[in-house]
Amino acid sequence: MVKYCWFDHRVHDKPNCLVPELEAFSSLMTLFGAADRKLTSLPSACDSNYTCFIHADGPNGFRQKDWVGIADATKRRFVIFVSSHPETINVSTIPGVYALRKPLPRVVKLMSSEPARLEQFKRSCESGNPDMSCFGHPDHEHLIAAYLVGVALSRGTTIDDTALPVELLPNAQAEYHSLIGAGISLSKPDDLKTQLNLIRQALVPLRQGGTC
Amino acid sequence: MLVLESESCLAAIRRGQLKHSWLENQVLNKTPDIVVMLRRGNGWPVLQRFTADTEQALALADEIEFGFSPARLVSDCAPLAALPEELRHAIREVVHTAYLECFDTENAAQRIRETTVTMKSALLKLLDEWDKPDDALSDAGLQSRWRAVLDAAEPLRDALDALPKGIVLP
Repeated sequence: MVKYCWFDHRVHDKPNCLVPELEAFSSLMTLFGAADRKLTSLPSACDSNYTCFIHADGPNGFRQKDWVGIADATKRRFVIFVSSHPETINVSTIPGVYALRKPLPRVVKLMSSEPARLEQFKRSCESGNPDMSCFGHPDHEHLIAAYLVGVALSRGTTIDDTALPVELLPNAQAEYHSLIGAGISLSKPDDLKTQLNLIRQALVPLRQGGTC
Repeated sequence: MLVLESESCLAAIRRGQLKHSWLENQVLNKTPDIVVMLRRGNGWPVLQRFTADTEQALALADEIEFGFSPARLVSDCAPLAALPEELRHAIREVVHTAYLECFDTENAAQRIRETTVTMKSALLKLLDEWDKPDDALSDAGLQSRWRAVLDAAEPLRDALDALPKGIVLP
């Protein structure tokens, strides 16, 4: 059975290593039942079956490569980096190493309100392939694609109805409904022009948050 | 301005790293007294990377026009992959033009360049003092030069903060 643990290197006694507290990190680990499994150092390389959440806002001395080095997907030993600024996490595509690119308060809120996501993530870790999509909203690629097509149409681009993939409009409509609820009908390309503002408003919640 | 979070927006990742990981977590959180303490104590190896960070900021300035453009989504968005390339090209052009109308990329890039040049200059002057032998080092001189670095870091941080955090949707 996969265990969960976490590492928060925040140091209080070294002025040059001050890192602000990572909001909602302890709440997230409480959701996983791992609030008391806070590591003080690297776990043993012999241990297996654990998923470790690492605070990636490193002070001097934070050794990201050491944490990356303990990851081993074959032994179900996973490392997931978290940060107060998720967009800054810089990890290469290495098996067993992940970046949770969502603000933790939002993740905690989402997983608290949808416990099935937490269970799904745990199952995916047990199966050896952590499903990071559990931490965020469903994919809205069709809605985004529809929006871009709508912008082009509104600016005079000619698009043959038959040029658009058949599934684009129905899927975009379904994604809209998953975000906003009913209230939009995308049955033909021209609907993208006339309902462009509604689509745009639906995409607002996908924003990372804060001002640009 | 509507901004779409996207893991494929490398410009936004670089923006965040420079603003947060570098300037906020390594520069702006240090007083002149701390810098003197570091110099007189165990040292501060990461300081030598700061000029490389300024190069990263200049590279980001060059990327602004296309780095945050929704034109990238036309290539990355799977549902649009089935469109004829000619049509995708047309969509790319239109959405890119719309993006340039809602985000002044030239001004943003210029602001990054100017503040980065100032920052780099301040850092080089600091390093001149830092690299002196211990008996030639002046604490007051070091503090003064670090204050100049801090004065340069804030406008650069603000310029980075003004950049989008992801792809801009017009």
